[in-house]
Amino acid sequence: MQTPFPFYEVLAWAVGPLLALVILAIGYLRNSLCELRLFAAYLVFFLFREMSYFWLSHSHLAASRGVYDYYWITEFLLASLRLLTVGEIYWRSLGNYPAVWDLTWRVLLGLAAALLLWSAYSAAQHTAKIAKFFYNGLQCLEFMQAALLVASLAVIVYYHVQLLPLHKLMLIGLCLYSLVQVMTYAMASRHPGAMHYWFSLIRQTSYAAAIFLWVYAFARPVQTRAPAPTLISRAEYDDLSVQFDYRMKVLNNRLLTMLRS
Amino acid sequence: MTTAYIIAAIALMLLILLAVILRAGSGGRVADPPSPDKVLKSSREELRPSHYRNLSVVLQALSEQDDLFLTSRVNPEIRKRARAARCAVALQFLEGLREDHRRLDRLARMLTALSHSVDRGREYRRWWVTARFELFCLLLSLKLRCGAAPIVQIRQATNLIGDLAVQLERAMHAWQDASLKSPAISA
Repeated sequence: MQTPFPFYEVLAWAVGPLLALVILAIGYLRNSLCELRLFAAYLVFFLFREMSYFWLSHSHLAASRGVYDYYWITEFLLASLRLLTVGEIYWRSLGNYPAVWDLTWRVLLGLAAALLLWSAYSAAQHTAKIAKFFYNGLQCLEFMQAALLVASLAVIVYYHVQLLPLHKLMLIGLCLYSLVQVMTYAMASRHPGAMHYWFSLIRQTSYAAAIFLWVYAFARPVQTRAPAPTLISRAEYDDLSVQFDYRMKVLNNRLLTMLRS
Repeated sequence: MTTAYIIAAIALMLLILLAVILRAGSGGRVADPPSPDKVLKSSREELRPSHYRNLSVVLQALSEQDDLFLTSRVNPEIRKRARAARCAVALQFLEGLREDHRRLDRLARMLTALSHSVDRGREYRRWWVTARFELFCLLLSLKLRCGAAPIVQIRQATNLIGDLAVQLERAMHAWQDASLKSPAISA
C-alpha cells in the first residue's frame, strides 16, 4: 500500500533510536542514568531491537512469519521494561518517605496484580498465533502501565512527596505514550486495513514526543537524587493522628446529623 | 466492538485524570518537599481555620429573628430575594468550613508523609472519613439550596473545627519543643 507521508513515516521511526542514543550519551557523560538502571536497560534494548528489526526487515526474511513474531515479542518486552522503569522511579521517589511507601505499595501492587491477571486472561484468548498472543498481552500491559502511572502520580501529589523534575518528565512521557498506545490499539483493532496506517503513524509520533520529553529532561541540569526530608517519630505521629481521627470522625457525625435534621 | 470503545474511553478518562493530577501538583507542590518546619509554619499561618470566625455574622443573617423581621416589614418579593441572599451566605459559609477541613486534611497528609511509620488502618480510615465528609458537604449544600438552614448544627460544626485547630497548634508547639530538645527524634 502506498503511504501518504513516506518521509514523515521514516522520520518518526528514525527519531526514536537517534534520541535514545542522545539520552544514553547524556546519561553516561553526566552520570545521570546510574539511579535509573532499568531505564538505561530499556534504552539499550530499544536500540538493539530497532537496529535488529531494521536489518531483518531489509533482509530476505522480511516477509517471513518469524520477523512479525519477533517484532511483537520484542515490543512486549519493551513494554515490560517500561513498566519496570515506572516501578523504579516510584521506588526512588518514595525511598525517602517510608510511611507513604509502606502505606501505598500494597494498594498499587493489588492494582497491578488485578490488571496483570486481566492481561494474562486477554492474551490467553489468543494462543493460536504467537504474535497475536503478544499483541493482545501488549495492549493490556500498556493499559496497566497507564493506570499504574496515574495512580502513582496521584499518590505522589496527594502526600506532597518530592518528585524530581527528571522523574516527573519521565513519568509524564511514559504515561502519555501508554495512553495514546491504548487508544490506538483499541481503535485499530476495530478499523483494520487502510486506517491501520494512521494508527501506526500516531503511535510512532507519540513515541517520538515522549522521547523528546525525555531528552529535554536529561538535557536540563539534572538532580538525580532528592534530598532526604527530616522525619518525625512514631510517637509524635500517633499523638497528632489520634486527634485528627477523632475530630474528623466527630465532624462527619455532626454533618450526618445536620443532614438528618 | 464495545470493549474496544470502552477501553479507549477509559484511556481518555485516564488522560484527563493525569491532566487534573498534574494541575493539582503544579505551583511548587510536587517539586517542593514538605518539611517539619514548613508544616509548622503552615499550621500557624495558613491552616488556622478562618471561616468559623465569621460565624456570628452568618448566624445573625440566618437567624429566625431576622427572618421574622423581614416577614413583618417587607413585601414578599423583597423577602424572597433576601432569603435567596441568606441561602447564598450559608452556602458560602459551608464552603468555607469545607476549605478549613481540607486544610486540616492536607496537614494530616503532610504529617503522614513525614513520619517514620504509620498506622495503616488509621490512614485508610481517614481516607474513608474524608470522602464521607466531602459527600456530606455536598448533600448539605443541596439541602440548603432547597430552603433548609440548620443554624445550630452549623454552629456545632464550626466550633468543632476551631477547637481542632487550637489543639493541633498546641500539639505542633509541643512537637517543635521536643524536636529541639531531642536530636534522636529527627532521624
